[in-house]
Amino acid sequence: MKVLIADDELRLRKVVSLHLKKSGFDVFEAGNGQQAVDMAKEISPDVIVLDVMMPEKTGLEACAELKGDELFKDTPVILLTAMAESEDIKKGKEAGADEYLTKPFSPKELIDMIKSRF
Amino acid sequence: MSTPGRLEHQLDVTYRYFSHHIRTCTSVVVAMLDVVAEGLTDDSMTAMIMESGYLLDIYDRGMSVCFNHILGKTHETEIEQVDIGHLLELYIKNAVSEETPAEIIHNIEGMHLRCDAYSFKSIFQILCQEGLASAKKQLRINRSGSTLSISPDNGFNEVQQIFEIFAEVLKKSGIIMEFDKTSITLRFTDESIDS
Repeated sequence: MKVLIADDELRLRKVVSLHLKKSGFDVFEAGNGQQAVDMAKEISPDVIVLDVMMPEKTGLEACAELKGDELFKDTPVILLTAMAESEDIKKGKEAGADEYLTKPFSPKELIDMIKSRF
Repeated sequence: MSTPGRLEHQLDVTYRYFSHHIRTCTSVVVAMLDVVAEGLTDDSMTAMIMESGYLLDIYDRGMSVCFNHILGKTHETEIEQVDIGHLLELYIKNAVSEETPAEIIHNIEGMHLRCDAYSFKSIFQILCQEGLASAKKQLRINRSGSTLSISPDNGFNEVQQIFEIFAEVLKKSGIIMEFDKTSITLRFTDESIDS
């Protein structure tokens, strides 16, 4: 199963990738929202994990763009965010996100969330 | 004195900026500890925990500096001499991952500044971190006379709203911070700077 993870924080991307690979996922990494959109079109991931605050295109913008594309409308998108307030969750839902994980999170939570989708 | 609307805006900007970074650094530590618990560590992972810990400290101090400024809390300002070149070396040694694609090029060895050290040290390192996060291959930190500039090769990803608050804090130390998409400049008074 292909998982695309996008976060501008290199260290977080690396460590989450490590956990996902250990759980048997094929992992692809993007460093910003635009890269995530481009990479999704290239690899057709089964799940997309997006940090909300990213340069070039935020996670919310990338999510809205991908969910508006016929190719990705059914691809689960999980948003990673530091913003746990209800207004932010509402924005995530409006952008079409399927799940919301608030930082700091345990990688196990993320893996369970991905597995629960399949 | 801030109007209630402006006060609320500044508090919101500060909370969102620091919450994002503090929670992201904490996530790295939490995720790494899971790796450690499984006995899968190597030197690079230990380094990542230490770098995130160092950044957590900088962001925590920066947050306190900003909230104190916004809320008008007076604190005993300690005017000290800061060796900016040494401060940058500390930042590079403790916070910059070996895997970071960009390199920091600078000419600030031996540059000293008399200022509110606590505020300056926190904000300067956060600005370096912003510059490095935006840089593709190079982050240039250059001194020219009494001005220091921080310039990522491709400019900053974003002119963060928090920069306005940093500028207000630094102004209290007589440091003029100006910024745009290409660079951040810090202009010091001639009498505060020495090299």
